[in-house]
Amino acid sequence: MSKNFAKRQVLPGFGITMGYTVTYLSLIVLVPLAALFLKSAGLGVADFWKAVSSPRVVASYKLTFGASLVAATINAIFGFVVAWTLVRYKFPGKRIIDAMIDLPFALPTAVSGIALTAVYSSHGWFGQYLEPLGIKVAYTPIGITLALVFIGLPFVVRTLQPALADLERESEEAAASLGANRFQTFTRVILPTILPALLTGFALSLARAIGEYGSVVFISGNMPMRTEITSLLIISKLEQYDTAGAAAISVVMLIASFGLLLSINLLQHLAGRRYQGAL
Amino acid sequence: MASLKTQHAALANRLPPQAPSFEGGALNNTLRIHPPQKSERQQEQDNNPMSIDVQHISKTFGSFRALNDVSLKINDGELVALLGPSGSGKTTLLRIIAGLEAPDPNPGASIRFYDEDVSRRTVGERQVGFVFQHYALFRHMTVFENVAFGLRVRHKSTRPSKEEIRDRVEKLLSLVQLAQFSKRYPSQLSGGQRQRVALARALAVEPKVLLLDEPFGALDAQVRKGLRAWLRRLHEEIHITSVLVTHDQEEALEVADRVVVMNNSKIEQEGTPDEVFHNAKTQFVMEFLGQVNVFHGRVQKGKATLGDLTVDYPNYSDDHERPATVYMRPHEFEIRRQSNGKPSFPARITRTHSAGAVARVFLETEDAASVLVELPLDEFSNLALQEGETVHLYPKNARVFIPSESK
Repeated sequence: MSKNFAKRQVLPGFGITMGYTVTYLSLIVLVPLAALFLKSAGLGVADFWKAVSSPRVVASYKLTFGASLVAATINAIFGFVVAWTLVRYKFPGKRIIDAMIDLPFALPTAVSGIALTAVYSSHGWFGQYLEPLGIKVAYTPIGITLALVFIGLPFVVRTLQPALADLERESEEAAASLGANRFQTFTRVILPTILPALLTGFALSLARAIGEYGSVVFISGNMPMRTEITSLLIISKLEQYDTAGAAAISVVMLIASFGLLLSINLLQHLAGRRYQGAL
Repeated sequence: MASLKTQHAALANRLPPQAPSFEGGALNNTLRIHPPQKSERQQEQDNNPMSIDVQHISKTFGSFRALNDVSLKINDGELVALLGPSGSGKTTLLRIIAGLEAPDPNPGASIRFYDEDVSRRTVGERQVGFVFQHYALFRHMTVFENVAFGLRVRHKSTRPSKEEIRDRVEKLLSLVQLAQFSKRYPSQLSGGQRQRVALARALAVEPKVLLLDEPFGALDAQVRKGLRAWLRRLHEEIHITSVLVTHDQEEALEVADRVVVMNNSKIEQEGTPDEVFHNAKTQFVMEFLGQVNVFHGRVQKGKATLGDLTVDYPNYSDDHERPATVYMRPHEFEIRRQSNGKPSFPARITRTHSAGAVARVFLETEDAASVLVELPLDEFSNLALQEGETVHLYPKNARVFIPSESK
């Protein structure tokens, strides 16, 4: 930043705001995370490795990340449909549906967990019909995924809505006039344009799912090796006063989540760079 | 103003040294757009005149009637301008021709491209090139990819090979003088450049007709003038049947072979630019095309009177006197200091300005009607007119309309 050419900012005080940002981030984010690393460091390498790689813990990683990825993917697809409907069409009750999208944000997660369990358990509204068909939802990975879909939906819808509203109808008409069919118009014109927003929605939904606890514990049944998510494992370690073990698993989660989000950001950068970064 | 100038300069400098000039080389380029093996098909197309014939088209949006029983024929190779104020239905008509909009179902309605009824075809099947006002370029694609789009989405059986696509796109890009910009994204181009990319993209699919929806509407005046002259030359070279929608009368009169003036969901008048400008059939066309001075007179027994002036008006021979509107174009006046006995009316000069191709004199008549007169600059300086003096105005030409009863 050259002083000679410093542009006059609308709001003054780069020094103050930057200082504030760093301090704030340190207090709220960095210090607790550093404490986490410190705590787990107390274990020593061998014990750390044992804590984070026991079969039960590994099973929980697979379940957590697997269910989260599946849920985020489902949200990306169906969230797109919901956002498209809300942006492109006018229909009675649109406002109400639009407001309902935010409910998973606002609802205490435990409440949604209990509600989902009630509906999908073997005696629930849906569960009683699904079970004779051999589909068990509650207390299985399917139930966990369902809960994660529920809490992640608003992220995709809310990030896609502005992007879809920005789409020029004319470019779809242009594609059609050039002989593209609907599928080609979608895959070659619409999708590339909204891809950055879609990836953001996917990433937010994924991040939320990986860290989710409240809505999952009720519907998962928490069976070790089968339906136990990592967050729950951490809690149970804490309940057994194994704080170092809990911290160790947390560190693994932290690094994995960070890596995942970073790579999505990278992808998004690649998708958006071509026409947004230019000029 | 500075940015305007730079834009204009940029337009002029855009030609790479080896690129064909606007005037000369583009013809060869155009012919080379078509790969040699397609020449048979090309010949077939040449022998196949591509006229457009729309009959009894109406279109309503909710309670708004955008088109009211409109019929129009466009001849092969013609460049027709649909001219009218916003809301006159011109864009709707263009979109219906393109197939982007469907006309109201009506037993008499038909849209024909030469001898084929295309009413039931989609926009893609009609093989039209459509150019949008706001370019509608695919912003995630480079200029090259934009132009190649129409060829790449073709079914395998008709899709040209990669090399052919590359050749054709490159030729089109040099036709629109953007060869060196092929790797840029639309966001890195100026408005005029974007619209030329859009034009190249529309031409890439070898459309049967070219439809342009206010193509220069979003550009500033200087670029617009350059582009429309260029479009006219392009049309003279490739002779594709074209329809241009515009609300700019100057643009329509300058570019088009034929002008279709639209108002209130109907066609008011159609004809060559000369015909519509000099022989306006309706009051609307008279007022919409060019500047006019409006006077209110009376008409009776085949004559219209306005003060001392009388104008023949054989269309109305009734004894009953009716109000009439008399139009005079600003350039159809003579100004004299002294009366020469012929009918004239006095007016006081309120303002003059001569910074332009013609001198403009603003006057006020005795009944406080304002009049604009345009004089050649030498005549203006010979007269040495002063602001505030009273002179005699001698109309050389006047047109009379009887306002319809409903108005």
